Amino acid sequence: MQDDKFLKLERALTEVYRSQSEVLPGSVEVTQDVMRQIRQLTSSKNRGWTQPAVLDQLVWRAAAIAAAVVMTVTILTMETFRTTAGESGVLLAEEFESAPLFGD
Amino acid sequence: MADGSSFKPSSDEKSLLRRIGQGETERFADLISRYQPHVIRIVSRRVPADQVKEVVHDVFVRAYFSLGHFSESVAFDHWLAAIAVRTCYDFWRAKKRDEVPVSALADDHHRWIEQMLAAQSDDEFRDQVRKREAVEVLEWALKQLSPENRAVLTLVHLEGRSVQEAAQLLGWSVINVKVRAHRARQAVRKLLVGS
Repeated sequence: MQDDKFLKLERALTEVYRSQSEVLPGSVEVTQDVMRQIRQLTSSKNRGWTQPAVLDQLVWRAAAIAAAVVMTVTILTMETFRTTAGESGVLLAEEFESAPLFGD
Repeated sequence: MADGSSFKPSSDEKSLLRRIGQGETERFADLISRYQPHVIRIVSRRVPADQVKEVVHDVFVRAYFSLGHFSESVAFDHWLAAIAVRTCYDFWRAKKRDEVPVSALADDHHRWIEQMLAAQSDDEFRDQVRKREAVEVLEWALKQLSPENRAVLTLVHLEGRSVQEAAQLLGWSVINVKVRAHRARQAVRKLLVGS
């Protein structure tokens, strides 16, 4: 009984759905609005994509330059220390050599 | 042409799609003009009349940004129909989040159900179908369903599409659509006749 009732209602609602008047195609026009939004979104997307790319490049370049500077400074410092240490070693050796070993 | 019947893109259409893909954005306006009636027909059956323009607009914006995924082996109108159906589904999902719970059926709706069930002849049946209450009961019943059940019920039971076609349009598995179609029908049955 309930089945029959439901089948009848279902058939009625399906007919209601199919007989509902559609919005007439001519009454809605979206071309201009859609194109305007696409232009806006495309340009903001382009900006959105280029900005991080440029930023990335800047960061990497700055990092590369900073690394090069640090390496140069490190190498120069090490060279300076090595030279200083070598010289002082030579001087110390000279001092030992020139000094009398047994006091006379 | 763009009446809902499937067809493969013509060479003219393929070249139009290619030109849009290569950056000739303005050519997309030609596609909108060509397929606007097709999309309006799909959308106007699924969302309230005052929302049709907004949803049709969204369908074309989505379609533009999805053109990269369009395969020429599929009919363009069918591909666009899937976007339209999914946009309508998203419309109801968004609506469901903000919506206050829908009230129960009014007395005149209950009366309509009784009169409908009592209708003996085809003429009586058709008279009942034409009544304002009939549309209201249908809208009420659809509003009670989850957006998923609503989408499936509309495609399978109200429009009479096959489960496979509904699955293709929604981008869901056939099993999922089958299960939902059954559940949605049971839910409507419970709403309208109790058990």
